[in-house]
Amino acid sequence: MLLKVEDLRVEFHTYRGTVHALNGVTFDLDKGEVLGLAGETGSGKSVTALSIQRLLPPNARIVSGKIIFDGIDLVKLSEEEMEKIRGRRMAAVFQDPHTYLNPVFKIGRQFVDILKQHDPDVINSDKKEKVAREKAIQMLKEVKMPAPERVMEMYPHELSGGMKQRVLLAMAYSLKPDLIIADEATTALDVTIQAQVLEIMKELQKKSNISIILITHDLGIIAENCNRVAVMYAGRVVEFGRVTKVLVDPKHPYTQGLIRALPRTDKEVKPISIPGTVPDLVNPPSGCPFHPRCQYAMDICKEKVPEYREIDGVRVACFLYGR
Amino acid sequence: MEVLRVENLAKHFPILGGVLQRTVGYVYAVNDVSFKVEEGETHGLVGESGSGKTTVGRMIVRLIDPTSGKIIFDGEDVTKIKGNKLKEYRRKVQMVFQDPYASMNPRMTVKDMLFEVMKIHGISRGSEYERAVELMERVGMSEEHLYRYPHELSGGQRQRVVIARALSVNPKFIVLDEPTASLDVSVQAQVLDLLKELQDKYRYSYLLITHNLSIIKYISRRTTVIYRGCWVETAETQDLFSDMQHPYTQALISAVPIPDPTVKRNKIILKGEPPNPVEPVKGCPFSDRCPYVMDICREKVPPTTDVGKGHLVRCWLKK
Amino acid sequence: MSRRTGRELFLMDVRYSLWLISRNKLVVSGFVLVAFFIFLAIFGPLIVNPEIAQRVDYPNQLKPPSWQHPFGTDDIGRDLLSLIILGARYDLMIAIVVIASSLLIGIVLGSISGYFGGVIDEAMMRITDIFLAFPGLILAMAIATVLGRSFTNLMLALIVVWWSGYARIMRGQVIAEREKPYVAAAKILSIPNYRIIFRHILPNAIYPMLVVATMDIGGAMLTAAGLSFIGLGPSPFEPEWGQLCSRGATYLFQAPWIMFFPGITILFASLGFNLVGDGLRDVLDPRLRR
Repeated sequence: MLLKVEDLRVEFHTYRGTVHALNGVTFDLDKGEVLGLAGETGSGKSVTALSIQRLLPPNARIVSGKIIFDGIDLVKLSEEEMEKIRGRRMAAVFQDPHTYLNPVFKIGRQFVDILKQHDPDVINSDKKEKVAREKAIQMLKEVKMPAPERVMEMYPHELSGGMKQRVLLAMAYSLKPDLIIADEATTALDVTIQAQVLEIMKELQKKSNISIILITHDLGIIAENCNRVAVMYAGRVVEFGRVTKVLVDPKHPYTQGLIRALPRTDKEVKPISIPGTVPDLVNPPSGCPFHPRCQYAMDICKEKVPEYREIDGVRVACFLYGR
Repeated sequence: MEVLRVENLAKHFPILGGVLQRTVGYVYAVNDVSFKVEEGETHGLVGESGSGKTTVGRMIVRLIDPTSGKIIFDGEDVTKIKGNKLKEYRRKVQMVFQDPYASMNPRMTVKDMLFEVMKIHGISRGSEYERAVELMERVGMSEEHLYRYPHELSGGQRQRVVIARALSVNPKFIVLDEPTASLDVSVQAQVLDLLKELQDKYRYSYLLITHNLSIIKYISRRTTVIYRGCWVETAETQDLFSDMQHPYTQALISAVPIPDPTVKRNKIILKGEPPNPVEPVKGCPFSDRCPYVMDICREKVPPTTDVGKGHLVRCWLKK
Repeated sequence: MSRRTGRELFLMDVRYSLWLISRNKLVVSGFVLVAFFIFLAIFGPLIVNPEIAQRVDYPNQLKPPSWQHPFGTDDIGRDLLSLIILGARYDLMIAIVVIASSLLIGIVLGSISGYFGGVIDEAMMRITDIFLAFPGLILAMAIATVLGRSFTNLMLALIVVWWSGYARIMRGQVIAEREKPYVAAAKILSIPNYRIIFRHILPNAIYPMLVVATMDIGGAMLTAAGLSFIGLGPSPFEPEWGQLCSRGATYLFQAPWIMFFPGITILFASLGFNLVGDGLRDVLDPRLRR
């Protein structure tokens, strides 16, 4: 058990009021596992990623809950202690490489600086610059970057989207973290490039047994790359289990609705939308947040928030499976 | 009945550089695109970034002028028309943009937007309000939405509003540029169904421009695949999926992730990077990434092969 | 969701704006300052009788601050506090008229230049280049000297200097906006160009300008005072603050208050406008809203 998130609750303070972004998120991740965090806008998946890294903006607050990473509760750590973990034991790759690669520095410079800061092999050697450079080139080779030495001398704007993501992946991987969080890392990429990058991620994962949290709204990516998936809605995990169970025989009405809404390239289906819209997290609905859109809604759904129940190896939060 | 035909459309954007702003090169956005759309049908235009598909869409609505090639609408050559003829054309051919929020003036209400269009074209004089309400209902919204500002609408609602706006001029043909790209998955189907419904009822013809193959499969009758500004394969959508001919089409379709973990298949992972449109195309546009590339592919443009039922492909492998 | 009229939405907008403003104490103080000076500008002559205040009164000259004359008296015996109060209308008027006129000219020319591009744009750019190449103060001095001393000429000189900056900014804004999808959508709907510029692009492009303009009021005030100080403004007897400073310069060591108080007033007035401009920026940026 590498990571265990227990009943995490996070609030944001804004003009419109308090946004209840996370309302009891619970899931876990084993060593060497790839976990998918699936959800649409407003589900709270990105907020979860930020919470795990303790990178929430100043107007956010972790109200309660635990984030237990290798036995340590991250919620209780100070910023200095958290800095030791971030980057070294936990790394991230985000959707928009523009915001994470400084446009005025060459790739090589940025990569080397990171290694000099965080990599013990580099820090402990006397030829820091040289060691770091070699390591950076080596990492670029690991992510199948063509002509890595050339890339080191290029600026971010000279690289394509796919290449930039591979650079971020290389940077994340270079410190051999226990966990990599990929937040919509391939969403902005073309589908053929996405396939490339996901393939590379898969190979790296197999080679090094790193755990990965793959955050995306694309259930196809989750089906093809993840072992387990946590489906999120309005700040809660509504269904959590192996992808072979959750995506093939979904239990929660939201998961069912989500899968039904997808048009497919492999078979003839008529996609059916889920009626209604995502709830307002400033005034979330009472009881189960999905009840206004759920075809099976019962009276109890409006009154109480469902607890997690275990059915067939999958954890579901729904009154359909018992009170 | 053919409503739109494009022949060998090309668009090269000049790159200006240097102190004297000379043309130092071109962005070869579109090189050779041809297809036709039948009345009352949806034609899909599929490609990734750099394929030039958005530029094609913009040329069809004459936001941009083609460098070469022809656009023939309802039998008439509209490639170079101007002035009043252009205004007439704009009534018949409309466009729905990728990001509905960005294509609306954030300071105008829905009512303001619809009224403005109606006034400019002199439609429904005297009964603009009734028309506006009718348009709202046509796209599945209600009268009260007329008073909303764009930022007060949900993604799906915004998409419907821009569709309503396009419909307000009574067009015959609508170019849809990534109509579901900014929508949540759970809402996409609603908009697609709406488009289908409108087509059935009012006989609109659509050009659906997207990189999302699954929605192509769902609503377009025929599809053209483009790579690096050139069409590489065109067929009835069913045939395209069941009998892919071009290596790019094969790679593209296999790259789309399938939300069913029990489905096992061979993914074709293309090597290399997406094309840089600053390079002109020589020979087959796909030659630098094609797993089956031969020498002739790099030299000569592949001829068109018809594999039956109007399924056309341009590939040297077929010769 | 219930139906809300455009009017209700507007009021909610205003409330939200006020809330945003109220959060920043500095900005609030800016608004207070500006309100105060505007009040003085409007009601000045009602508070202080101009004839009495401007009467030459030699026996009273160069008196330091006291209960009777909180800011002291100047070299011809006039009460400085009264003069400063009366002067408010001059300085504020100059600054506001200059900025408003420059803004108007700049917006119109900048929009046309930015939207149509091509030859019109090139020509406009060269013209503004010329104007911007001159150091503003010197150009203003030159014009004011040529035209002669008066209020109107001072304002004209400043407008000539200021408009080109706004034209440039507006042009940049319009160029940024014209590539946006809502403009393309408007073109496709055959909305005529003039309407696209003034009804669609302008309201969106103008906000940064308003922020700059508000802050510039302070700057214009300083510049006007400066020009007035070196003798290019209205006549030496007017209670305009720059003039007062000018008179005070001669007596800097004997009666420093004559220069000090008008100077401080100019400082606070322009500071007030700067802070308001700051606050406006937060309020008007649509991205920071909701």
